[in-house]
Amino acid sequence: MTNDLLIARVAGERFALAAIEVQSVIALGEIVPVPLAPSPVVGLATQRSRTLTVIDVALALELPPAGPTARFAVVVELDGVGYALAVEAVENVIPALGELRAPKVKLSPGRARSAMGMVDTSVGTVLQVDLTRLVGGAEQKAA
Amino acid sequence: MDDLITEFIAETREMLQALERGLVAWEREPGDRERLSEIFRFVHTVKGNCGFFDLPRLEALAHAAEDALGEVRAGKRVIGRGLVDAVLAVLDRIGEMVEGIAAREDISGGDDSDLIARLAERDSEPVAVQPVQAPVKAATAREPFRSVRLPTSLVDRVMSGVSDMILVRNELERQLRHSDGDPALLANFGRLSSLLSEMQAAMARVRMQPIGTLLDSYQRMVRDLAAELGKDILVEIESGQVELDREMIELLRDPLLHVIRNAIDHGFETPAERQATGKRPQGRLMLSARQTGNEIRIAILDDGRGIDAAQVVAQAIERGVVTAEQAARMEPGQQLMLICEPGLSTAREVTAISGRGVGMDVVRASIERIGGKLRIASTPGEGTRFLLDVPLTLSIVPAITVEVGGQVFALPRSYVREIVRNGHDVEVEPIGGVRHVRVRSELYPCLGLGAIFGLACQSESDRQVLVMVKMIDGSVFALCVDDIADHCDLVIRPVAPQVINTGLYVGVAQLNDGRPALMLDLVGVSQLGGIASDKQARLVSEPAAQADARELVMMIVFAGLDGIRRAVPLDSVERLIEVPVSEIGQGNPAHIVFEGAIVPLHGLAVQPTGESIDVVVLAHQGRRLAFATAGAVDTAGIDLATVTVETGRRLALLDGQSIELLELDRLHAVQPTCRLPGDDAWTNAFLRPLVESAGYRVVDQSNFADLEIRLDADRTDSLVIGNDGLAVAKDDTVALRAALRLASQRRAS
Repeated sequence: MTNDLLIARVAGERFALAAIEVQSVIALGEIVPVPLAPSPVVGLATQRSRTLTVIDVALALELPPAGPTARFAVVVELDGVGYALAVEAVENVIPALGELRAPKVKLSPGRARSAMGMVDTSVGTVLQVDLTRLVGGAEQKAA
Repeated sequence: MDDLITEFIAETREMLQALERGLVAWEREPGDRERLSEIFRFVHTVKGNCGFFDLPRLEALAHAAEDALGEVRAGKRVIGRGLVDAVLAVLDRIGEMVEGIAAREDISGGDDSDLIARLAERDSEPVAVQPVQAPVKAATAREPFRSVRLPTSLVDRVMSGVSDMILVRNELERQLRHSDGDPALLANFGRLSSLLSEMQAAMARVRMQPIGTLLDSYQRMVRDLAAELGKDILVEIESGQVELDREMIELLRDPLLHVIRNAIDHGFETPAERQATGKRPQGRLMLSARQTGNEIRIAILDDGRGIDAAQVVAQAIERGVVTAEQAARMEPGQQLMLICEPGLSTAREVTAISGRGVGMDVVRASIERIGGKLRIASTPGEGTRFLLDVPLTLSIVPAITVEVGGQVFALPRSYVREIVRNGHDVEVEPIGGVRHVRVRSELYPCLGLGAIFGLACQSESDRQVLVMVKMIDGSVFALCVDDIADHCDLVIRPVAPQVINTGLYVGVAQLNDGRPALMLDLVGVSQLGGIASDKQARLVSEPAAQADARELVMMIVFAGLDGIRRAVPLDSVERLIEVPVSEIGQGNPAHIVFEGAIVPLHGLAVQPTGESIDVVVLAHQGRRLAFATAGAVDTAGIDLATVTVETGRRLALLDGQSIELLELDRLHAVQPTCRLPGDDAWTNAFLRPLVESAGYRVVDQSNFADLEIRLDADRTDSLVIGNDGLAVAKDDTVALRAALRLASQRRAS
């Protein structure tokens, strides 16, 4: 089984997502804000006739919010709901060179909550994040 | 050949389904020629097709039915109960056989001679005499209804494809508008555009089905089951134009079926039992569907014997479902819901129809699985109500879209009572920290959507629009927005759980320009704005407790000058004003001048200390009165169930303390006063009783009086009644009475 990873840049840092979970990558257009929605939900965007809930990945990882610098989004689907994960850039889809392993350093709480582990790739060792935990970030915090 | 058979099966099914609705009505009124012709055409078509396909058994059956009905149509035979039953049995048998063919079973083996013999039997007692009319031509058969079955996933794909095309169309339209397009190109684009709109409208209907179709389909089952159990039940169906997703309808079919069967089996009494308890012998089963904002409510109401909550509880305790203490703490609605616990059945005896306790738990589970809610309310002896609330997911909601701070939101139109432009007809006043607006002399709490959502309003406040929102409990509040964008039907799609969990949104819709618009949950919004009454809050959080929800009335709460807390219903409050003490007119009662009119002022038992006092101006039955307060005016929901008059005053409980409810009737009834022209014998003996019988209290010259009677300056034998100079001869009793009455009326108005 090829273990392809999508490498995205968030707040200047590389993160990996399992490519198999990614439906598409879109350029973010207008984001319609959702008043009083919990972080990291920043609004709604559309992909043709589909409405996507926009998650600011930087916020989800408790990094400085990307705001308007997030021009791209990784489209994923969880429990039938489409999400657009806003990131600074999407770099590539590359195979993982090896297994996931526990991080050697202590991660910041925001990263630790979503992290699956470190993985080696041709662009270096990156942190692979879990989609469900990334998207449900604020909910877990509240619970 | 296979294709033809498939088409025959589909057509026969469709026709049978269409007939189903008419059958029960036909049975009640066998003289209905229209229905008779419909059934005749059906058996005729079946017969014709069978010959073609070599299905002798089906053909013989259809032929016998056609013969019997043909005789009826020709007026040679009257319809009786036996014939009706036989025809219904034939239709059932045809249906079975068609399903058999569809499943590729061999159906040639059966025997239908029993049915054919029943058709041939003449009824001994005809139920209705068929009026002889010219036979209707059978050739008027309608175009057969054709249908295909498609996987819903395919339908979904086509639908989203159409939506995408519409979006591209809109984008293209914008671009064309900005260019000096070739007229021929524009014309073609226009055609393409309208074709797309038509296609979109057609596609929107594809997944939808009127819920009436589902409810109608139970008619026959009710009839058969009721007949079997010796009960007489009339079914009433009220489904309006409610449409539901086809898939949702299929998911509801079995749970509803079970609830209805239960009602017929356990709920309804036999005609004899009903009569013994003073009810009409015929039971009524009401099936209704209604769209209430963010959900579809399906109600199944019967007027049968009801469910005895005590019995349910006793059984639940016996089976170990709950402990006695748990049961004692439960609300009546929750106690009834115990019938949905596995293994609990309320039936006194297990019957073949239901009553094995394997139903209601499954019903509740299937409704909850589709995100719905089941509630039960019942009054022993009077009947039971099953309420199913099904979410609007995928349903089309008539909506109003509003703009706030450059963003568009949608509201379900069913909540919107009216739309008012904030202008000279609308006054804004703060009461108890909440902004209120007065629209046509009614006072409503007002929420600024922009303020709640932290969005800057773009319009000047006097250009804003008030959407008057009527909640399910009947209370109304004003939602202040920048502008109304559109009236439209929106397809509401589910939105991410994080967004739903805010409690402010029910879903998201896509507008014509492709932008998403959130549909507001108005209950959540009003709670966030701090104006939802407790009643609404309970409706949302604890539906089970709704059955005995307290009756809360929104009231203005204030302390009087005497320190006593008082309350008066919000809808009778006209204004809160500040009045300088120097401007209070003395008397009993005192008065103030408000908007150019004299308004009696109550609550001055203690003299005010400051330079001015706060006064609530109330309107009651078309009359105004004012009440002095010591400030600190607030609003609160008062539970009318706590009201008592035992102490001579109307007191209610608020936050565990007593509060006096103003009795506007009694305040009004304070006797008006009258000043008489003198103290002579005629006045005391004659005029005074007249004035007193007209409801006035006579006061002496030093006092203020509502009415003043004086002698006419010009003629001593005349009196002037009131300030408007109505002169009446002293000895004309009839005229005097009339003048007094007129004066009271003027005062009242």
